[in-house]
Amino acid sequence: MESKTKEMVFSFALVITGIYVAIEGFRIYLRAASAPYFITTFSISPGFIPFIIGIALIIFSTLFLFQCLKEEGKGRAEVLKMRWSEFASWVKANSKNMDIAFTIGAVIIMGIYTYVLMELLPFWAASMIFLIALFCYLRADKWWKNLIVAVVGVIAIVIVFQYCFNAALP
Amino acid sequence: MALEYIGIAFMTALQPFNILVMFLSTLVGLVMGVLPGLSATMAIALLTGLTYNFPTQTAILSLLSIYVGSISGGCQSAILLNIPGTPASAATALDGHPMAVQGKGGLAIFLATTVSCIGTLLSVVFVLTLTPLLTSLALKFTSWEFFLLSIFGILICGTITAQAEPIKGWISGILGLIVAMVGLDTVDTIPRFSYGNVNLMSGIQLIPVMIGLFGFPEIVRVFKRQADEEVTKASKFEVKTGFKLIGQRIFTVIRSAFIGVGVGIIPGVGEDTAGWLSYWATRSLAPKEEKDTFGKGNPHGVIAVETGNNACIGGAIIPVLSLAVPGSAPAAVLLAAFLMHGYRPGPLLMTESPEFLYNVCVYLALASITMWVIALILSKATVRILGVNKKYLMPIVYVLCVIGSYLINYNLFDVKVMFVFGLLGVVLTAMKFPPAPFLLGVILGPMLDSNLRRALKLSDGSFAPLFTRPICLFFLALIIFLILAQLGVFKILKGKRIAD
Repeated sequence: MESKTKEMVFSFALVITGIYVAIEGFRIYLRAASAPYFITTFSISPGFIPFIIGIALIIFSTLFLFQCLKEEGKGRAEVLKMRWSEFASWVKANSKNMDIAFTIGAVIIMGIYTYVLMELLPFWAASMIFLIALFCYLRADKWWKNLIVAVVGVIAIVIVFQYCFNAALP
Repeated sequence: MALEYIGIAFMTALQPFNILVMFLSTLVGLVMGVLPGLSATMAIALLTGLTYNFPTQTAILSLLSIYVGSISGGCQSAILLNIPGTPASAATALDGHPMAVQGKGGLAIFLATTVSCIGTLLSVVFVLTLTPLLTSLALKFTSWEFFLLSIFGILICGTITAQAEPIKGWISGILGLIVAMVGLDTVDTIPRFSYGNVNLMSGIQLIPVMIGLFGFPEIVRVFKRQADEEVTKASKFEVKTGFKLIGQRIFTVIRSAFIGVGVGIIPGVGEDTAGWLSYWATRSLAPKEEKDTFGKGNPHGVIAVETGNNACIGGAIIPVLSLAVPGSAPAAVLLAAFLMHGYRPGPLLMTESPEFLYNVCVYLALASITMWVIALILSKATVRILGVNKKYLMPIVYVLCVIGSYLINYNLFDVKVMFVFGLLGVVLTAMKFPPAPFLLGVILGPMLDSNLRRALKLSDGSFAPLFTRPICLFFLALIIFLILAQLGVFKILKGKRIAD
């Protein structure tokens, strides 16, 4: 997919983010204007700056969107249509891309370590499982080498931080 | 008084434990700099969390050593591998690698390391002289000026880091500002974007954001299958020839140091820009017959880049100390580390803790000398270091990222924040949005917010003082000119006039 198409989709997401931030800024103002705060002047309310930032994001993202839709000899509507069809075919083609799927798989392992293992297990156990899993997934080397590197790595980290730096690990 | 502070700083730095920490930190910095994918920002961000339990002076000495080490270490892989270890050394590869191919890898490393040390030492002189000047100027700033300064910082950083598409840099900065708005507001303590979550109410911590933005994309990049790179072996150093070459090019060294410091002072613009600008200046000013040799192994190029990028270290620290505005991405992490260790950089620094400036200068100078010694020894092992299996290294680095994020508050929530911003970093990198303005937005957001709201409260919600204060008008003109120029408005107007 052409980078301009990716950028167009991203700029849409940015415009939506900008709208959300601006609306949320205004809602913060409304909250601040009521009890117990009673800050009724918009410019000194805590919602003012988020509102301005949201507007700035909308403006710059729209400008960026227009830059993405610029193509010589073609109207913006025509380019928009063309880019959407490019995006659809890119999604279709890349849903079977093994390289992307492989990377996503590795990121999921990192996510499981961060959100699940770290919550359930002590640091050393979570990290050891994570390292062994990721080494094997990445096919770093033979399984026993992966095991040794993971065990030695975690032991070294625990010794350095827990004992040398006196830091309490999770 | 200044001499007394310098003396105390030397005595502190030369305590046995601190010497050991300085050596180890410089070594860690150098190794991280040597390894492509581990940037200086990531090195400092990671180690900031890890040095949290250190005594304050030891921690600051350690972080400055890592900063100097990682910026300097990048040149070795640029020379031997043709892949810069850090973006700061990207321009070093242009002449450094051809030198290595010609069998002068040792000389190139010696030149790069020596001028790196000289560049940092020269920048220390600028830190010592310019920081008090800028601090006294900053004392004239009120909330309005600080508000405009933060906007200007984000804009200029976005403009320079995004190069051809400044709008990407500006959007990145705005996204950072949005993140900075999360939590209780600093004036009325009203929750913003926190959705009733207690962790979000205390705001998003800078270090996890930074580790995520800069570290995560580098880790993920290794997951893609790629061919092994070919490493050229380093030859002998040729110390005599090296010193002779540096002596002949002393004006290049001084000019590049000036460029490095100048670039460093500009908010958010980092060592890579300093390196490229120094290279460009040297190439442009070279005699016609020499110009053609650039890019083909001209030692002049290596000298210019490495002096420039290392002088940028001191340059980037100047606005950190005087204005609390970081001059580069690694300096932004350093600012967070200074705050974490109880120092309050900014206009009041010279009044509240005047010794701090001298501590930083002495630590920088000692770190650069340490770097010179260790880098030359390490270069013998660089080939081996570069041969480390990245599929082993990067998962371990991720574990370190987790620890670095956790140790800031001893809170697992920060680790989750790091992961989320890591994913965002991957998207931004894929879209070619520079992460540096984003980071600057997160750092300068609270400054922008609190100063504007304080100023507006004092003026009863009126914006009139913005247009009556001379420094404000100067900043406003600068901001408007920057935006219009980058959007090509002047070009359009010029084109119309010609057409008329």
